[in-house]
Amino acid sequence: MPEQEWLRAHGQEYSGQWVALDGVNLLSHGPDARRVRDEARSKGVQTPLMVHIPDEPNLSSAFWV
Amino acid sequence: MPSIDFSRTHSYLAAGDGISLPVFLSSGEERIKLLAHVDTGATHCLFERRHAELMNLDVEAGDPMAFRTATGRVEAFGHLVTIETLGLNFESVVYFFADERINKNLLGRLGWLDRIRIGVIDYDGLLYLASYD
Repeated sequence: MPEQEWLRAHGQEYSGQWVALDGVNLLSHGPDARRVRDEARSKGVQTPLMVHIPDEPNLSSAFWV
Repeated sequence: MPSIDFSRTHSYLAAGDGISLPVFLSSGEERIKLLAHVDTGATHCLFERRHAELMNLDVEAGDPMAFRTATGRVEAFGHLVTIETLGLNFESVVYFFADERINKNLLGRLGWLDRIRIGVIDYDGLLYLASYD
């Protein structure tokens, strides 16, 4: 999945932010999920992949919750 | 020799952290796309609060439920949504965390695992899915 490859390569650059992706294209990013989603929609992508990057994205998960 | 047939495959190698796959959630006219982890230890499907808000759901109007976690109790609220993974659709009650600081999205047993057949070859990073029939 190209979005997952993008997240692995670039996710840490956006730690703590929401990112909206369409394939390997970053459409929008920022702290407000709705604003990020709406900006992505304004670029013609109705349902972008919305991901909240953790503050420390490179830490491995011991538990999911 | 038992065998299981699957209709969908997904490579999760690129994720690097757990078994994740794209999920579409729909409620009313709104449809969102997110990444969620397969969690066979989770009783229900649980998602970040913001995703409910992006679908214009009133989170606290849902069915309240408390969940036991590794670090204590968390509250969540259940809502009926359409959930789609790899082209397989069904209606399920899923839960959204009350606490906006929890940024986990989990595909658990009730509402997802109990609707599908699943296979994993982790060495190859491959997930196999089919609807339960």
